[in-house]
Amino acid sequence: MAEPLRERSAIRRLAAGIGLLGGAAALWVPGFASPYNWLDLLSSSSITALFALGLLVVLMAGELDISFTAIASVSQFLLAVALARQDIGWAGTIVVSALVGLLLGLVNGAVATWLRAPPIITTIALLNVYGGVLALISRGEMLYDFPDFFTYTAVARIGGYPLTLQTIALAVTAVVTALMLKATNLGRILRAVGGNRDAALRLGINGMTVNLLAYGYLGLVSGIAGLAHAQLLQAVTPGSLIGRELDVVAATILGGASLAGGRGGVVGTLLGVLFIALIGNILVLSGVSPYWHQAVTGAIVLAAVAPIAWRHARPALAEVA
Amino acid sequence: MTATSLDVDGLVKSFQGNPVLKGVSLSLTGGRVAALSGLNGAGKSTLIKILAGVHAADGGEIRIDGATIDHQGSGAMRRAGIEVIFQDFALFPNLSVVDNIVFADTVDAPLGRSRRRHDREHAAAALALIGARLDLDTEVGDLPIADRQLVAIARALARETRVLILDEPTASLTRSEAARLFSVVEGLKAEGVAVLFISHRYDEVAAIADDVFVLRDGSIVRRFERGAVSAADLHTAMTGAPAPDAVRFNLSAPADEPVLEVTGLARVGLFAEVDLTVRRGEIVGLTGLLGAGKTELAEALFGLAPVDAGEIRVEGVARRFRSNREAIAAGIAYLPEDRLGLGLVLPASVSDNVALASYPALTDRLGLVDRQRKANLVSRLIHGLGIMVADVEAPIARLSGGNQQRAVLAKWLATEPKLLILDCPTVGVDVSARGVIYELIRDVAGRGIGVLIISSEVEEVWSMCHRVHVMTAGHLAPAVVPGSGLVPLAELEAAVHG
Repeated sequence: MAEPLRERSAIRRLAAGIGLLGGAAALWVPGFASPYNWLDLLSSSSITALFALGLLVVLMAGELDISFTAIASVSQFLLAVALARQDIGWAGTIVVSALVGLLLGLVNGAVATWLRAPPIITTIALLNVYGGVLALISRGEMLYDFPDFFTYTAVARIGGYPLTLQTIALAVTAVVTALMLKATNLGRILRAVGGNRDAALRLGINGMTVNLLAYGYLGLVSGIAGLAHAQLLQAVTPGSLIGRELDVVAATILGGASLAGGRGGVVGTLLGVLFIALIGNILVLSGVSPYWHQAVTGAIVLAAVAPIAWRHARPALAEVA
Repeated sequence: MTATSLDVDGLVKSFQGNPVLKGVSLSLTGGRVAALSGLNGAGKSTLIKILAGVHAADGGEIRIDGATIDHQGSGAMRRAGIEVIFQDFALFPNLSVVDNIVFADTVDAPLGRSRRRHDREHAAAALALIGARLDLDTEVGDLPIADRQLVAIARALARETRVLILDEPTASLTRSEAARLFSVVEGLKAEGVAVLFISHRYDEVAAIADDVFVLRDGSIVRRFERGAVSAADLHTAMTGAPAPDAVRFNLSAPADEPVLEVTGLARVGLFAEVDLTVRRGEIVGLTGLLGAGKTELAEALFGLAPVDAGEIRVEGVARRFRSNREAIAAGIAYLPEDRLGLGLVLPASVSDNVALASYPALTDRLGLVDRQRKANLVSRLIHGLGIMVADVEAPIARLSGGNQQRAVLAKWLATEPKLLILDCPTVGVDVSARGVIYELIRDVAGRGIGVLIISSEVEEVWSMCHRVHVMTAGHLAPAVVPGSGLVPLAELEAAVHG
């Protein structure tokens, strides 16, 4: 299950960056080395990681979906409404979140394929549609009245440390995504479509099916991310997830995926998310103003993505006007 | 087992009422190689697209071993054992050699588990069939073109391919790579595969084909047996007119003062120690294989790419261009290879396109365009170059290919350049339309403009240029003068193809 060369180099770069950053922080940033800090880091970055794994599959197929935060918002809102009326238990909770996500993801896939417009435009429009309708229906009111089963943070304990729902959701999604991309022919098809869509269609691949699969998978995972987020905060504020899209895109690209399609892997993506989460964590612990977080994260992502972009850059061939 | 037979019978196809194929019939037999020759626009690509299942024919039949293929689609054609390898190969650059070769198995079982060992054995066997030694794990995008072609052929052979169609397979190969391809094709013959080889080059057709079909204006006009075709016959059949000999044009003598002097120009990894001079009114040719660095050199001369060392002088003044704007200001014009993609703004009007590079000269002190001067300039150039256009305000996309080429030339002549660089000026232009372009180029040189022609077609630069440089792997050989009669065409060909 070796990763291709380019993905391996992204993984190496990230691992080195994380090692340096983590090592320095462990020495100089008070509180960083505590296991509770790491567990906290894991729980809070698992939402981003879930989105990133779903997005990886879409990017792999050479597509792009920006609306996943809105899908997660819709699904957690509907979940909160359902939980307020009836105790549907864990099974029902998971099914509701996953189904709502899957359904919206399939809508995205179908619309993006039919319109054939650049998917970034289509899905930004869909993000606004979902976000707008959600704001109208929910009137922006926060929902926080959950049944008991939903309020326990630790699902199990290992050696005294809590194993959270977020961590389990991430682990399951990571394994499923890795299996799909590596151990089945589906992964090869997704990668091929991302590498050369025309050739894949000519060789008998159905473009609509592949897109429904990719967008649908991101939708499903986004639904689960919405559930994980609601459980972590014990509240659903409609639309509070919206606005985190670009962080997720940045982490995924950092992890070796490409906006041009056909590249990336699960390990790289997880490291990309961890890298960005680590920066945020260190800034928080160092007491830096939160306004700096965005600026610093943005700058580091730029610096990290630049060598990738340069490699793909073609000589300037612009005509003069 | 009897040999495979593919019969195409009376195939008809039109696009928007425009007949492209008017009843094409041909037959292929297992263990034989057939060549299909024809000019651009003769219908070759339409025919093979139908055989690939990309288009369905409007009428006629395709039979394999006597059985008619009913639903013409890519699946049906592939099930019938027909594989077409297009010029782009339809490979996946980001997948390994193995994954590319066994891709069809993947498509057949999209939900199946990937079987690494089985796939490797299968791919290795397919490569062994054509005697290709390639690393199975290399990503195809990292392979040279010739090896990618072998991967595409191996992929076709990885399933039961009985008819293999190769679309101009030698277009981007060197001589030795082409020779290797020919031996692969000979091997396929021995395996009993029926091969259709698209080519309009006589030397290839003569070397490989058992049968030669010539397509002209949507019909098969001639069929030759092996050994019964001469270069002149093939040309006559393709164009409908007898072939002219390769003749050198009469060129007017250039002036003495140089327009462009390049010494020791280098760009790391692309070209080095390039010395080049172009005089007023002189046509200088630059030829060599694809990838020799010709286009890269031209881009550096036009300021589109930086140089690492050396000097460029334009009319005696040393220049270092940081952008193409500076190159244009210094009097250099550049006509790129992809004339449609890079040279024209297709939705814009003819007049806007022609004036596009001259706006600095057409604007007044307030930065507004002087419409009267623009109209004068456009009409002068359109008449001067004989561009057939009813309305200069109509989108340029409506013009024919030849007229578009002239419009790009007009755009650059409007800037009154001192040096015109033409990158593959006749690429994609068929034999009969080339004469017009050659005439235009000679006309440009006659006005005292220095011309640098870049072309992979040796005969073109041999017949068109005062002096010719051969470029090999980034190095430029000293110029030869074909005009003196001392350098025959064959000798120049040998210098390029080695």
